[in-house]
Amino acid sequence: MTKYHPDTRFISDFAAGSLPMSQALCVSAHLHYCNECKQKVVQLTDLGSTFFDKITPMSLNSDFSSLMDRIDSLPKEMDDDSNVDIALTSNVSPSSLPSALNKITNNSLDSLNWRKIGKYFSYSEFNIGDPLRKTSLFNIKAGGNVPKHVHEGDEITVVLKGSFSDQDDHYQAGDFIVRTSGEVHTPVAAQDEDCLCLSTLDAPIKMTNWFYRLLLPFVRRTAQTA
Amino acid sequence: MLQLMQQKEPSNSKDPARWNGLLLAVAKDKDRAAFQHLFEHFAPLIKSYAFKVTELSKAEILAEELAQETMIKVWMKAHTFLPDKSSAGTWIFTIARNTRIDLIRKYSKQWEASNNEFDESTLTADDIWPDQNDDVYKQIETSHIKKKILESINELPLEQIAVIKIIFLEGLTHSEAASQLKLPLGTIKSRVRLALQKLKLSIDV
Repeated sequence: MTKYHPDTRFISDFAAGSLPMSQALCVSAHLHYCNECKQKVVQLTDLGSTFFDKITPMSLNSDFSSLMDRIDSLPKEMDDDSNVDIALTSNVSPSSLPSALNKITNNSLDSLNWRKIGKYFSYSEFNIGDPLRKTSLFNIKAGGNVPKHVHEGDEITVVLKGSFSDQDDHYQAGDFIVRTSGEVHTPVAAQDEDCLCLSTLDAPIKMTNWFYRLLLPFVRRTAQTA
Repeated sequence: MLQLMQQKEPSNSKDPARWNGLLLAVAKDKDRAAFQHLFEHFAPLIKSYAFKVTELSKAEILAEELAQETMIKVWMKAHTFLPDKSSAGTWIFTIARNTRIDLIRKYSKQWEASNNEFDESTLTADDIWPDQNDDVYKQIETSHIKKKILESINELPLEQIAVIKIIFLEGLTHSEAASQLKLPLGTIKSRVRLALQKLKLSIDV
């Protein structure tokens, strides 16, 4: 049973479509396990569309016939129903991963490039076009722990399989956990099962080396203004 | 004569059921006349919706492009519209929202700098934001939600409406809204929460 949910701020920014891609991926992963939040998103989307109905219209530069010309010039297979149908009907069974992650992992976790840190912890980072955040899947072996670390920025973690504990609580599939900058934590996976999580981090994990520490603010500022 | 007139200008052109009917005609028969009605009503709304994202230098191009791309998707995906799950208006809004997300990403400097190509493996908005709710609600319930929203929306204080508009139409996050309005993040959060309470949406606050 999911205990930790995204707050109203995350849910409404998600429904409005403004949440950065990596954080939206985390919310959508949570929705895979949580009908309650799914309902909230539906309600908020209705709220958005109510305002959309009342927006002041803006006339187009092009007319209807030029749109139809564009449609008629599309390759036939694009106008074909089959592609969309597959996407729509491929129902994911509740035990499997959220569909967006299946796309990222190409339906195979083994095909990812996993990097190991210590005996129990491995992670695989992927690029979803959000340069301000690091997004990755990580796995903690049953009974193992994550090396102690401090975060420089906010981190969202969503448990996908298995469970883990830290000093505060025990987290299970679907739980959406937000850790703010400066918090120290040492997650430990349950004894009987590996724990797979999705996580996105606003800024890199704090380095202990003084040189990197001096360099980091510049790196981040450049990324933001780029 | 009367019939002809009714056909030309339905008694209530804002009637949501009318949009559902037109969209279903596009789905079933690729009905171009029905599609033209949808286009004339929705495309200018979509263009305006895109134009709200003002910080982009290419806002005008993006707005025009968004209106067209969204309507193309409406045409192509019409057969996937489930009238018992959603209303045509909400469905078109979600398509516009998702298309806007991808277009803004494509036009963003960050994306250009990252040298990524938009291809089949690129995660798109549709992968993350569903354009239709699956089993969560029946349409009868969502139309009930919309009714509730419409009933109480005029009772909202202006400052709450302003924040809701910025978040849902202008595509700003809570934090961005806070810095644009020069208000603390906590104030934005509480205005959204108060508005949702007033609208009696079953959102935990």
